[in-house]
Amino acid sequence: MADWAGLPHDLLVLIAKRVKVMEDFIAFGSVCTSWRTASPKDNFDILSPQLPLLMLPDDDENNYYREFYSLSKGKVSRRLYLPEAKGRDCFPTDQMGWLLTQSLDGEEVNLFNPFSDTKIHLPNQFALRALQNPDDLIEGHEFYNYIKLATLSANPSFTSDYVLVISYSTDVNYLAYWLPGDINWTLFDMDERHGGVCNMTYYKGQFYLLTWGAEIWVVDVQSRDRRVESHLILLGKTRH
Amino acid sequence: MSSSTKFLTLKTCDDKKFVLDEAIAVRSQTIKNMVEDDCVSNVIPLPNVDSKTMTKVIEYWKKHSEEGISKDMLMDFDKAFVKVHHSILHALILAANFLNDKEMLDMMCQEVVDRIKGKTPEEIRKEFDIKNDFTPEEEEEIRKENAWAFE
Repeated sequence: MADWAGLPHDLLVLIAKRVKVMEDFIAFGSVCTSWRTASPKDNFDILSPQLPLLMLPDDDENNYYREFYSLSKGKVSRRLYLPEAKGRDCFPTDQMGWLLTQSLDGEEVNLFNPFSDTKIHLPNQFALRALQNPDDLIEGHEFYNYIKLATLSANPSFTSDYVLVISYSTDVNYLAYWLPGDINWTLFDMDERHGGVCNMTYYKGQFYLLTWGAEIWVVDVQSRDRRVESHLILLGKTRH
Repeated sequence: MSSSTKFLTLKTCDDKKFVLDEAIAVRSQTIKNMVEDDCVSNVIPLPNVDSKTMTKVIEYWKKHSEEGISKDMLMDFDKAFVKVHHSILHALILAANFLNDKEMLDMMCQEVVDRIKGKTPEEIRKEFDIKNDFTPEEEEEIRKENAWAFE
């Protein structure tokens, strides 16, 4: 009979290294002793793309827990104790595992990785408000500087050389960025009012912003000299 | 030297002989090295491979050496080829490793990975007939480490 536990170690390693789905890799290492020895964390390619998990909203009875729906399994596959997410707005940042969380009162804004339980403190919404041109401020507006979108240029789990760009709501959607170590956000110096950002993503050194006015802006945030360049690459109506 | 087809005789561990075109047999790096080092006498012994497994290996080699075969046809062949009982898969991995046929070894290892996909550890044990040899303490440690993975 075939002895799969007794397969030579280097062959088991060969197999383990081909496992690209994180959950499968963990299952692989939980089968038996020899398979476990062949699959230390270092043998997993952390850069292999993973199917995202869908984080479900607060459960009323167990507010400290959040459930995650696995697209590959088609069911809720994880339930995590996450006080950080309790009563907070959480949304993705384009980087595997990292969320931006903000408390509803605007006091706390964090980058948060629920799987490694790592938190990166960010300047809050009041700090953001302090940067605004007073003429633009509308008094008493509760969610005035509410962050709506956040995109990271690189994964904070692997590097500290990254840029976080956020879009937040005022009378139009403004943009700001933050680099590790910054005390406050830096506003983008953009002359044009672009009608608000409805989506953005990061690709090969540049942030791409899609506006409600059907324009695509490319923003280059150089982390070293802090030069910010932006230009319009597509006009919804006129260009082909 | 004659340019005509040269044949090699391979002998498996259960004493079965296979006569094979050398051009095909050298898909095995192990056999190729032997041929190049001139250590081939009449018969090449393959002490780690049985005849049942060797038949499958040769089937694979011949198909992959066919002239004018399309990529699609090879893909279909490969797909069907790996659909075997896990004990044969196991034997083919060991054989591909011994014969040093990287292409075949990669394909067989990938098949193992494909059979693991989406399964729990218990399901994987069942699939490959593996005994859970963890102590209760180790089991607990794994459970803690992966608390979030298997609920």
